[in-house]
Amino acid sequence: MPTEDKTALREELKGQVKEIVKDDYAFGFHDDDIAYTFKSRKGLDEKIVREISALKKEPAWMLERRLQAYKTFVRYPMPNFLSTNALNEIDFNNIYYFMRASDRAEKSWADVPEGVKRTFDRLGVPEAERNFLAGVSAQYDSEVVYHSVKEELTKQGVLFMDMDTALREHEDIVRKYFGTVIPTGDNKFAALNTAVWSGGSFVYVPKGVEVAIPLQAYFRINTDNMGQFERTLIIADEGSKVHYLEGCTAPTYSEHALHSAVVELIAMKGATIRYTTIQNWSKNVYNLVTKRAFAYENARVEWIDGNLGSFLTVKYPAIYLKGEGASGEVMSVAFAGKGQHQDAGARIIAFAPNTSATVTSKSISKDGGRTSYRGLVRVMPGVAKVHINTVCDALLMDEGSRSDTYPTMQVDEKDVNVGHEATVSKIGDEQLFYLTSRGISADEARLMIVNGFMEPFTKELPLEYAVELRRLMELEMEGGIG
Amino acid sequence: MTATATKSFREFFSAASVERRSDAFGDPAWLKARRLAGWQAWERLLASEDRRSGSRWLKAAEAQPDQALDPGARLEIPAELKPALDGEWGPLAGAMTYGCEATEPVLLDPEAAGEGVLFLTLAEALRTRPDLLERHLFSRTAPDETLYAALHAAYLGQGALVYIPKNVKLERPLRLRGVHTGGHAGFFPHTLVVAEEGSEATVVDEAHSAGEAPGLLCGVAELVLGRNARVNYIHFQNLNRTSGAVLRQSTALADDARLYTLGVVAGGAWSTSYLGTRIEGGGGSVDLLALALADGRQQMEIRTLQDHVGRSGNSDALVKSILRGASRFYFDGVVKIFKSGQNTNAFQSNPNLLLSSDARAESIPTLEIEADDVACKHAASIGGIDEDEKFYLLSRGIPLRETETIITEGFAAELAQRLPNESLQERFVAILNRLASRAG
Repeated sequence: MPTEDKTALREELKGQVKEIVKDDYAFGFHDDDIAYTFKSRKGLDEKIVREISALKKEPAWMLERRLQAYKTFVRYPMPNFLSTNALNEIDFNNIYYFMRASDRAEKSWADVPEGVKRTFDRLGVPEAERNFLAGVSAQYDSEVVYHSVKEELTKQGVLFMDMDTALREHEDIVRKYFGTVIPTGDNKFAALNTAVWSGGSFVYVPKGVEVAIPLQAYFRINTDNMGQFERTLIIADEGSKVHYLEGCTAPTYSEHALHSAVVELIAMKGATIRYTTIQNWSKNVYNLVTKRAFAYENARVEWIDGNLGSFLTVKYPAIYLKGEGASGEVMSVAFAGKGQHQDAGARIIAFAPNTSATVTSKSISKDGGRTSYRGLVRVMPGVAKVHINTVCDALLMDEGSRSDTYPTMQVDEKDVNVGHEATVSKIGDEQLFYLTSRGISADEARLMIVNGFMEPFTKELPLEYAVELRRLMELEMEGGIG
Repeated sequence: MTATATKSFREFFSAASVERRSDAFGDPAWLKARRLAGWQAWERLLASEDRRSGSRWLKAAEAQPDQALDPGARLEIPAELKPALDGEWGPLAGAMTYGCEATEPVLLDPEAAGEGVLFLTLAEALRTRPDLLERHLFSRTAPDETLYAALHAAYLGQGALVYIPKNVKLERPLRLRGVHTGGHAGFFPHTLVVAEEGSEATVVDEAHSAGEAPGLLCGVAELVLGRNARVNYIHFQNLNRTSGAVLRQSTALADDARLYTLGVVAGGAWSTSYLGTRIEGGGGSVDLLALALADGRQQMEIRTLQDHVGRSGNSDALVKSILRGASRFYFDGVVKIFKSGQNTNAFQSNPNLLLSSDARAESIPTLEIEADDVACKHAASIGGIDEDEKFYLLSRGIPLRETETIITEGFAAELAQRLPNESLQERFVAILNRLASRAG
């Protein structure tokens, strides 16, 4: 077939695909008819911070924190390590910093407003509920509107609620741990979050309790220029075990929304925390997240992190190995399509001897998308017998896409083993040839190869997430041109 | 105290002394312009907040301009560094030794001279082949690129031109030795290697100190490889333990050119080396090898850049460090594949061996890939001696003391194995062993 014909055919196919998936975005609908009970004005100043705190009837110490954080946010310069100007283009005065769809967290599904329900219906939340969800903490805009905790969890003494409720009902625990893993001044966006945080999850698992089923929360962004600033704090007490799942989808909007979460995990002696994220914000969202975990003696922390959506994601899940025998794992996948930049990575710092961690990062760049792996592995002076290994694989799908790898290793001790390796390549011609010679179309073959490439990540996910991820990848890969 | 008064490093340099150097060197207009551009950049960069020494970590490199320094008296070039057509690199095609002022008579094999090979001091080259200098000098390193590149340009004087005419294949190495003979804070050797189409040559370039007084080596090497040229370039930094070194090596490869470059950093209180290669033509191929051997309180930094502009290029960087005492090593390597660099293979590896608990290594191997049809891979590791290897050797009856030596030698020998011919490999291993015994 002559080249022009092929090009024409491709264009036609792409048009059809577009019709079907509508801007390549499966969940690109949004509701117009939700009555927002409160909507703060755009922009950020001390007054807004005070308003947020007052509306939530917060204790004085939290307001104090927020105000201090606001000052830090204003004082800190914009980070400039990204080799892109995108961060400077954020118009902080054109963003809503707080709003809520209903006045308080609902206890039962029947009380959830109709419009919100419809949105969740399309995302499949109720179905998940029917199946085996332990608790649903679905964030609609800034606050949790629906939240149920299975009785057995309550019986076990597990606390699982939104952060606002936790601050009211368990102020002592929140006050003790809030901001201890990620202090206010950690970075500009952590400070922003501390100033205006709203919603997010709070989990406390008592000593020795193993939570058998994953705790799930759906997060959604919905109003134009809506900022989301969840604050999540998970504490797994000695010998306990918990798996927390977070999945995001958002409707497509024309203006950039800002999402800047802070997630703090504390795994006490012998505890295990797994935190799974599938991030699929619409492709105009800035996703600037600070995630960090403390792993104490013999504890284990696992970050399973998938980044598919957003315009720009900056996220480096961190594990501080603070106690002897602690271990950690970061397993991540990043997909960057047209106009997207995924700047993801991992940070592992060993403060204690006899610790270990593994980082596995997979990234795919397509249609001019850009993925970066930015990592830090640090072994503090005098800390021996540490094994930390990082493996990064990047797949470039076409000309014009870009992949960067910036790992940093700092080691102050000889009795350690720190390694890093990375590969960047395109889909192998031999692989493609093999599959097409078996009668598989080139597009299908590409999808199979991509799915195979992502397999180590996918197999770490619960079934329904794995299925959803596969479906999203199909949509992303459709209309792929060779 | 010696006759020279202690003053800060920057006070050794002035617009007037740049003028004097320009007059003494007999600058043509184009060279004087580059020299003055260098001086202006030095003054500008010194005054600016971002001093751009080119170093990412070494505070010493940033602080150097303000540090007090007593360069001691001017010394003679030591007898063992004087040129000879044999020695540890075997029979040579040419040998040259220059100090801060004086240059020993240059030795060049008559046969090589007959084929048109030029092996000249820069001063001599300026007299006889100004055309070559005008075309290539500073063609790969702009005078205002970094603080020290600027100072280097302003004080250019010592150094050599190596010119290999078209299709001339030189089997024996050419050996250059620059000696910091003291009496002044700075030493600015410039090595310019121009290898024309189809030529072959090996150049060994060494930096030494005559005495124990401190000084700053501020050197630049530019390697220009024509079509299908093959060059092996070995740089050896062997300064005394009070000096600092800022080295900048820039190379450019035309179609199908082949370059092996090996940098060994052994001396200096601190040292930062930048090893840059740029594959411009199609099918160019580079092996970029480097070794840092540090002990005591030595601080070393090696930065590499593998630029792929041309199609179908290959580059393979292997940078190793062996660290003892409370030494520090920093590696920062970048592989950059431009959109035009399709069908590229690029590799980068940085293993670091820590032999002491007080030693420290940092590694940032970076990939920036803009072309899709590439195979690109990098790896880095930091760690001590592998317990399994040690156990294996012990179980074979090798005493504990020797296991470390054997493992360390094996670690360094991998670099030697990557050199293109056996003679170079053997010479290099011998030198490594001599250095290893120094460290004990």
